Amino acid sequence: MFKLTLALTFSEAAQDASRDAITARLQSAAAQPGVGKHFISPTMPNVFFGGDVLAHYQFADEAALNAIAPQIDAAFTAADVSNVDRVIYSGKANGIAKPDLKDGVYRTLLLSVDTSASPAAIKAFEDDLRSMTRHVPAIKNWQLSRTLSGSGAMPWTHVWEQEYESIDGLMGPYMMHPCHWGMVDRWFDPEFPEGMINPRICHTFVAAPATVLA
Amino acid sequence: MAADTIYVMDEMVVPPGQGEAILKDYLDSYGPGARQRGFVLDRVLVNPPLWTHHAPNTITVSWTVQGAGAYWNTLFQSRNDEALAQWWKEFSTKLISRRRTVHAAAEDLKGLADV
Repeated sequence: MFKLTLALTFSEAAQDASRDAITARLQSAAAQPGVGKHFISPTMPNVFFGGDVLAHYQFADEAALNAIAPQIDAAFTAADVSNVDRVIYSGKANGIAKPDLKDGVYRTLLLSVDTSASPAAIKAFEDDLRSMTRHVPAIKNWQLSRTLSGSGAMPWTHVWEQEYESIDGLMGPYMMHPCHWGMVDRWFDPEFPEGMINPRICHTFVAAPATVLA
Repeated sequence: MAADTIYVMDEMVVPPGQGEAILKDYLDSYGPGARQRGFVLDRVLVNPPLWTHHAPNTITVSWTVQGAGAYWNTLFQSRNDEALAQWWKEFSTKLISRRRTVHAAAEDLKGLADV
């Protein structure tokens, strides 16, 4: 399975009608044959460089992605948006604890590991991230992926997706558990020698009527 | 209920004969900002317990902060501070090696994980 996610930040000049038209075109692209699960949703309050709209598309294979991606990318112009974070990655959920999750929250974190990071450090970081799912039951479904391509504010290298039953799961247990601030965060923190992830992250989340990970 | 104490420890291995000066540099140049962000200096430990000139010293500086929320607050202040990141890069060149670790008392682990 191949996945394409876009976090769009509208330019100040983009009028409401223009924003609506972009969203409609992104939605229209999702209606094309070859597109699987998808959503085009406004981001929720308190995202951090998370954009105004999050668009996510899934494809059975790379050919389907390549067939539709031009239409998705043509849904907006440079004048309409001040930033577009765009990632393509493959794979499916690594963990599914709630396959029938409805009316929850989908969160994705785009991050960029320094090019100087060693393969061993990257693996250790990824292992730490995966271990969070054992400590934080509020994470219902999840996937950690290395990107096939990543662009926008940073050359995104990883996508860390989770689904929660509510925003409380993300803001509470996920943020406040010691596995986060006492273990994983060192990779993001330039005060730690292990710090190797650019502080400019894309932390974004949307209301999710139904799971897209499961 | 009082928040659990979180300990942030900088362990620095310093070249022979330079321990005292490097510790002063650390406390003078890093300390004020750390305090401003919410850290409280807990203690400074030196191993072996004398300033050595033939072998490295290991200096461990322990800072405390009360609870995960307060710790996040320090991180939100430091995370995008490019001057601080640059300070660490330059200061690290004076050291043989360093580690930063985060700790809590064993009896507090259950409470910290109950979120």
